[in-house]
Amino acid sequence: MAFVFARAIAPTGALFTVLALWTGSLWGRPTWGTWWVWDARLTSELILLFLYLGYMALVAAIDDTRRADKAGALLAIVGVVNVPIIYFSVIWWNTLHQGSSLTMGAKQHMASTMLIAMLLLTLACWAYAFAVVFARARAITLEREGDTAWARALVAASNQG
Amino acid sequence: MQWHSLSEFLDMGGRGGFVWGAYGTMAVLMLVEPLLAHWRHRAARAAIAERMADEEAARQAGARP
Repeated sequence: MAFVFARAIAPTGALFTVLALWTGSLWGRPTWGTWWVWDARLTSELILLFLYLGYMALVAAIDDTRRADKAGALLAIVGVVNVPIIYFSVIWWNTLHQGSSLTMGAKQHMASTMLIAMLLLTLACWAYAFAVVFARARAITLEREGDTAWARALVAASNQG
Repeated sequence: MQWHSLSEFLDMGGRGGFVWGAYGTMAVLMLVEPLLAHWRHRAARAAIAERMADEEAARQAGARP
């Protein structure tokens, strides 16, 4: 099941990474005066997108499901190294990208209206991600378990109903 | 920031293209992705149903004298 969820999460992760890069770029143009800079945060985020795309290409390229799962898992483990790099990039290096807007335990300087909107949208994005990942995991499970009795019973029952 | 008309609101102080571009991209991608997941599920079910129908047809053909 872990492999099913890894495959189900990857496209959603890639989608959110594209959105972060693209909408960040739309924000960067009027704010920084440029669409893109080879800044530590932006570059590490772009590497994350390539890791997602690489993972999806790798598992799709190998016909043997078990081998594809293992190869994908290996790439995912290597890719996890990039996550703390993205998070700490604005602390470790002097970048154009601003530091964290929110810090746990520290006094918040963000306007409450913006803070509420941001937290609400964060919650909405998580809800969306859970829903779409579960929907995709359901499809992948059916693709893999198509020869099992339960999958056939499910399809037969839904065709009758 | 306060707006006094719809056009002023849409213009977003001259940054409307950036603001609505960001919202638009997000809306389109977040509509397309669940649709793709739904179609994939439907295709998986159709493939199983087709395989079951093929097997049933082969069984009936084999049972015929």
